[in-house]
Amino acid sequence: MLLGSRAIRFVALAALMASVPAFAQDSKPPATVGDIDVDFLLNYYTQDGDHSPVTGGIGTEELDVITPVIIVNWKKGDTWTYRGELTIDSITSASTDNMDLGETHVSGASRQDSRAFTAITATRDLGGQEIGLSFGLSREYDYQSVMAGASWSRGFRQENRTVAASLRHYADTVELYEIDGVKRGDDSRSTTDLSLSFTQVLGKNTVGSIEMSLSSQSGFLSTPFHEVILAPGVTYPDGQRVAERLPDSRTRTALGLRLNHAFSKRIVLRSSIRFYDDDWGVTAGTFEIEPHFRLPAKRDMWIYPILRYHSQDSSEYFWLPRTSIGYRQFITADRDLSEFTSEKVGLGWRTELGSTASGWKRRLRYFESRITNYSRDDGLDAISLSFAMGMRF
Amino acid sequence: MKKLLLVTLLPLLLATGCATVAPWERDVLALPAMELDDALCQRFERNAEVYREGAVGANGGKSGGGCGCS
Repeated sequence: MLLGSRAIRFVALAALMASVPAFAQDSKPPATVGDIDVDFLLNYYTQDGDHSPVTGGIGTEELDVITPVIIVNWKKGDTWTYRGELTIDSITSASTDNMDLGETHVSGASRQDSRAFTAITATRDLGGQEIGLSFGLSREYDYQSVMAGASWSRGFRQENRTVAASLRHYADTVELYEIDGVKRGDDSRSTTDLSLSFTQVLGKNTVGSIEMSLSSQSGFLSTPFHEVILAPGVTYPDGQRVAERLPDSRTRTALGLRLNHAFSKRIVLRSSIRFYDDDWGVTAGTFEIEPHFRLPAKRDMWIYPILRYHSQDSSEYFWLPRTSIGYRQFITADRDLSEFTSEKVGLGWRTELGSTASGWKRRLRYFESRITNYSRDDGLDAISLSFAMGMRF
Repeated sequence: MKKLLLVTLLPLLLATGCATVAPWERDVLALPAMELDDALCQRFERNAEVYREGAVGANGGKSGGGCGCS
C-alpha cells in the first residue's frame, strides 16, 4: 500500500517536473569579471520505513524535508572569486515526535524542526593554481557546528591534468537530549576531512578522476536519543530500552573513481564507482551511472535516467531489536550502520539558457531538476525532488 | 586497501600519458554533462545519503561533520 501510493506520487512528481517551462536560447559564456551568478535551489524529500532508531529500531521513520538554498558567486577582479550560501531545512518528523522533550514539547502527529546552514568561500587564482578558504555555520535545535576549510588545486599540461586537495574541519556541539527526554548538558564532536583528487583528460571525448578521502572523527559520536531494545528477560519481558553507545573516534577512508565519456555531442555517459572502509567495521561499494541524452530541440536541453546501487556490510556494533543479551560497551540499533543494499532510480533534466533573450529572461542561465526514488532492502523508501535555476547579474 | 588502490589507480595512471587535448579541441569536453562534479541539484541526494548510509566520502561531499549524523 505504501509503495503503491509512493509510486503514484513519484509519477505525479515526474509529471510536475516535466511541466516546468523552458526557454529556448544558446548557452551563456562562463562568468567574467564583475559577474554575479545566483543559484536558487529547492528540494522536497520524503521518506518512510519501520526501523527508526529513535524507538529502538521498530518505529516509523516517516520524515518530510523542504530545503530552499541560495548560492551567490561573485568574480571580483582577475584573481578573486567569492561564494556565499544559505540553506534552510524545514523538517517534519514522525519519529522524533516520540522523543519526550519535556514541557516545551507538545506531542502531535509529527514534530517540526529546522536547520540553518551558511558558508562563505574566497578563492584566489594564482595563475595555474587556485587556493581557497571557507568558513561555515550550521544550527539545528540540538546541534551547532562551525566549519573551516582550505583548498588548493593546480593544473598541468594545458589544464589536461589537475591535482587538488582540500581540508575541512568541523567543530560541533551536541545537546544531550537523552532517551528519557531529559537534557543532560552538551558534548563536543569534531570531524576533519581530507580529500585528494586527480583529474585527467583521457582524450577529446573522455575525462576521468580519482578522489581519495580520509575522515577522522572524535568526541561524542552517538546520537543521545537513539534507543536499543535488549533481549527480553525476567525483569523486562519486552526487552529493556537503553541508549545507543558508540566509540568516541572513527576513521573513514573512501576511494572514488569517475569516468565521463561522450559517444557523440548528443550522448554522454557519466559513471562512478566508490569503495569505503572504516574502523567501525563498515565496508561498502557504490556504483552510479547516468547516460545523458541531448534532445533534438533548438534549445540545449538534456535528459537523463539516474541509476545508483549501494551495498554495505554491517558495523560490528549493530544489533537487531531484542537480540543483544545485556548492555554492551558499544551498541546501536541504527539501520544506517547495518548490512543492506539500496537502489536509487530517477530522472534528470537540464536546459541551458542564453543571452539572446530580452528583459529579465536575459539573466537566466539554466534550469535543472531531478527526481529520484531511493529504496533500501530493509523497507526504507524515499523520494527526492529538486529544482535549480541560475541567474546572472 | 593497497590492492584496491593499485587496481583502481593503475588503469588511469597508464592512460595519463596518452592525451594532451588542446583548448580549441575541447568542445565536447566543455559540455555540461561532461563535468566531473555533481549536478547542483544532486547535493540534496548526497546529503540524504550521508544520513542514510554508514559509508560516505570520496564523492565531493562531506563525511558526516556539521550535521546531526554520526
